Amino acid sequence: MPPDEAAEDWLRRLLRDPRWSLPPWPDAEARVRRAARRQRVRAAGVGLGTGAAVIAAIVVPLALLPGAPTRPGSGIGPGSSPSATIRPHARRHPALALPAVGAAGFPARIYPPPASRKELNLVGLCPNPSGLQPVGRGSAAPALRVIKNLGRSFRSDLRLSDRSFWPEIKSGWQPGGTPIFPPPKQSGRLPVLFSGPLLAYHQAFGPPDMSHTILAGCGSRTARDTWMIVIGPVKEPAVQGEFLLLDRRGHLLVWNAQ
Amino acid sequence: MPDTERGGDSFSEFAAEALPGLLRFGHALTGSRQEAEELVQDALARCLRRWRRVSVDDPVAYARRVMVNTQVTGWRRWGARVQLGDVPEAAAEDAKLVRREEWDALRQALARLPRGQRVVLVLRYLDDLPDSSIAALLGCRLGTVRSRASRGLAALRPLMTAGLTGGTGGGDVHATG
Repeated sequence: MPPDEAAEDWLRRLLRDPRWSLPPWPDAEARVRRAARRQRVRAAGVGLGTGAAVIAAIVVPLALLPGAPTRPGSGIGPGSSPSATIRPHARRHPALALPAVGAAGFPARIYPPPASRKELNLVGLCPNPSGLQPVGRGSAAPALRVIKNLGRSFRSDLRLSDRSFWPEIKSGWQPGGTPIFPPPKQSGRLPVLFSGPLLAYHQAFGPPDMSHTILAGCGSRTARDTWMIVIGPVKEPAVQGEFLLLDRRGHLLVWNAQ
Repeated sequence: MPDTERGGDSFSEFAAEALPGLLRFGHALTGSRQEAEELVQDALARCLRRWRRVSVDDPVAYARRVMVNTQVTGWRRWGARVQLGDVPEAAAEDAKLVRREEWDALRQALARLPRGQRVVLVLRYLDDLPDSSIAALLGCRLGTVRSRASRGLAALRPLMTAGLTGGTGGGDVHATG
């Protein structure tokens, strides 16, 4: 180290050396999308190796990702890792019609139409505020049971979710789509990193807290009445899943997930 | 439903623009090209999965936060896989060779630092982040950031000197932190 150069200036200079630069990726976007798929599949499978229970990590349908191909069955692009392949036993439902408001088994008082989408809504559709009540602390365990039961069937997923989330669920169950909720696994320990009011959750290094997004997009009441559950390995933030739930007249429903 | 086409364009633009800086940052953070590329790739993938939220604020800062915190939590182990370049023979007259020696010595020296010190030094002296911002990013106290920086600099000096004089050869390097 040059004796006449302050250590800090010396370190600053060397850290700016162009040798730290790396060549750009010619296929950057495709590469990132493949990695995103692997993360989702990995999140779905997290916990099996450690004996954990249902890791119903959310897998956003490829059709919903920015720029993703939309033709059926094209969920996996060329060159993708085998681990990103859609499971061989992917369920196919020839008719995935969303029940109308008030349809049998889906009473309107529990599954009302979504609220109007605000211009700056960044979470998709917002839940209808009618019948919402704060999710109490005593609901933590039932909320977790809801998540554990996701992925059994299309109709079951609809029943466990708010109507505002149904379009994404439907996309996940479409032939060729990537399931949002993988099939439930053997019961065991679920690595829950957080379970509490949305407004109480703060992630040190995550994106803007979901609470800000929900407040801006869906209003303060929805934000106040939303319960958040974060699951996944603590040391692998890239594969953690975030679930938002609400209580409508005593029914716990998933209304968003990432 | 989200406007996927618009979202796709904005993420593509963001990724193309941010990639060189993120790769450079990751390389300084990890000391390994392979590790850096994996770190950046995973951080960008996470950005993509949460793009609707991430795009609202500062997606570059978010990606860097993911990279830093992934390093700090030990998800990626650096030390054992640092690719150490050959240190050329000293040629004091050749300014370029001297600089290459310095750079290689720094890579080796950083590899030997505890992870927390390494991250603080990179954030402070590559990104010029104030200590308060570093503390917020890492979720630690301001005093912790300063002590890590101080210890890191103190540890770096003899390592750098040894590196320049060939006192510590190549081979596996293991982070101790």
